[in-house]
Amino acid sequence: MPAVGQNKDMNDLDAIQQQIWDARIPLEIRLSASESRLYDQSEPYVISFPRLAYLPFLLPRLLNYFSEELIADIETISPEAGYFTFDGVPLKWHFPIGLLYDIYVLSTQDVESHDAERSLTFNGKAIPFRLEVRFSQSSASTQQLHLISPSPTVVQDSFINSVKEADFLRSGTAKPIMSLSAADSKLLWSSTQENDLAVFSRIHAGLLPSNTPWRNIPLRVYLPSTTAGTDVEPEENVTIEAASEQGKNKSTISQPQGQIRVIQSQIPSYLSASTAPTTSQMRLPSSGGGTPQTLGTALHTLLPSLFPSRRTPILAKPLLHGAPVPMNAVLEEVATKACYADGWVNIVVAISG
Amino acid sequence: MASTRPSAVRENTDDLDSPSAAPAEPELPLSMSTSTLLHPSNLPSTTAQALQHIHETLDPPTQKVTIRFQPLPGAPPPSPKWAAVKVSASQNFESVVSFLRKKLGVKGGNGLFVYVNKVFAPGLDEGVGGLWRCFKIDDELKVSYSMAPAFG
Repeated sequence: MPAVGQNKDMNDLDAIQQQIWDARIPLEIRLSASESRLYDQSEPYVISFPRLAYLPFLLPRLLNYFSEELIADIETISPEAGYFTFDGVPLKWHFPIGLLYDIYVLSTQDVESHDAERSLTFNGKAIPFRLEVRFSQSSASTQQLHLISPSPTVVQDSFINSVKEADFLRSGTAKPIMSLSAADSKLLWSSTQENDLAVFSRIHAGLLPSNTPWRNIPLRVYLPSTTAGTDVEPEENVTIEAASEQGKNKSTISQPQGQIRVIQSQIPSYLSASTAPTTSQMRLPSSGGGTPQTLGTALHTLLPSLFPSRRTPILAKPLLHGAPVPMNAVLEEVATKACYADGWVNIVVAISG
Repeated sequence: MASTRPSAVRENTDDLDSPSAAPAEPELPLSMSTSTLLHPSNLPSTTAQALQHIHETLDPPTQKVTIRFQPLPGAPPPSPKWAAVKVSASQNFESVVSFLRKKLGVKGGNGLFVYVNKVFAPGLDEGVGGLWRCFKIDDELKVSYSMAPAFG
């Protein structure tokens, strides 16, 4: 991806947005061996799919493709019973495919290259994105997803709620999305399903504050990490009040287990020295009234220990749509043109090896 | 301003902090191979320390945030005991919804719709700490509820 922050020319930003919407990830999807008559000998479903799309879009055709070899009676299974795993881990269906790929594959590439043994044993290559699909809901791992079955209505509702969250952060209200016509609201979703940038960008542009600075940037940071597992011992010096809770604390002790932390907070569009922008000020975003928030200033604020510098990535680098983003990228520009279809900027932190 | 509020903020309701409400597994687990790869012993010490610091300070179970419950038209009002509660920042939104279900006597499944700022319905897997930081008003996360869908 070209440098986002270094050129304010909208043509460049439009070109970046076009690239993001054109980007696809090769997927190789196998039916779980435990659900297949062919066990692990079945042919995978292979497709190149848009980064911005969601996995449930694929479920009807996957059920159809694997219908012959499913052990279960096909009549008893609906596509929305399906869920996906990567390397044994169940995936959230409400994360776009590109985000899942950045989280589970790209974020550890730098560390992995230092581990020759692992790169030989662990699938070897970064592409295709090798997934497994299951249609049996009995597994405990589905409960871990804390999600209901991805019927088309549920997937759309989840998307719209995410759009509203982004809207609220940008505008301080949800007026823009609430006053969208029913037809346009439908088009926002169908353009996402159909990967239609022309339709999407017209409606998305209407949601962005035009004459006032944005309140906040819809920014989520995804941080993969493993803890040593020795830091959650019950505290030694408990007060009398807290003593009654000590039993509960024991339940939080667990095996060393890697996880993705999701970090979000209010990230103002401008680093205003004095006040938060008010509507009466009517300060135009480009008028130079304040210092614009960059990716570097935001990451330094959110995770100062991991991003000690606002200008240079030292211990970790930020990825967006599979590419490193310059720390000086202006976040309002990033969120205008390089956001996901729900308006969020999803930054994945790749730990440097 | 604080004195005009309908009720005091209750510390530590049993329901929200019971072990059953706390997630036993990480919300977004990594596979064993990736977990091992990112184990502190395999990383530069500065990076390992930075990650450890984040783990200890980012939404720890000991950090509490305030949630204020607001009924939407047609829904029963909260009792003063739970109109505002303190919730551990490490919990996810699902625990807030199950708390409401219990208090309102609504069984799991249908019949309860929960919103933040009367605008959107957060995902059940969203962290309470992150929701509070992004969407708080007067340092409280305003959670409204209804027995029928609203704000579609």
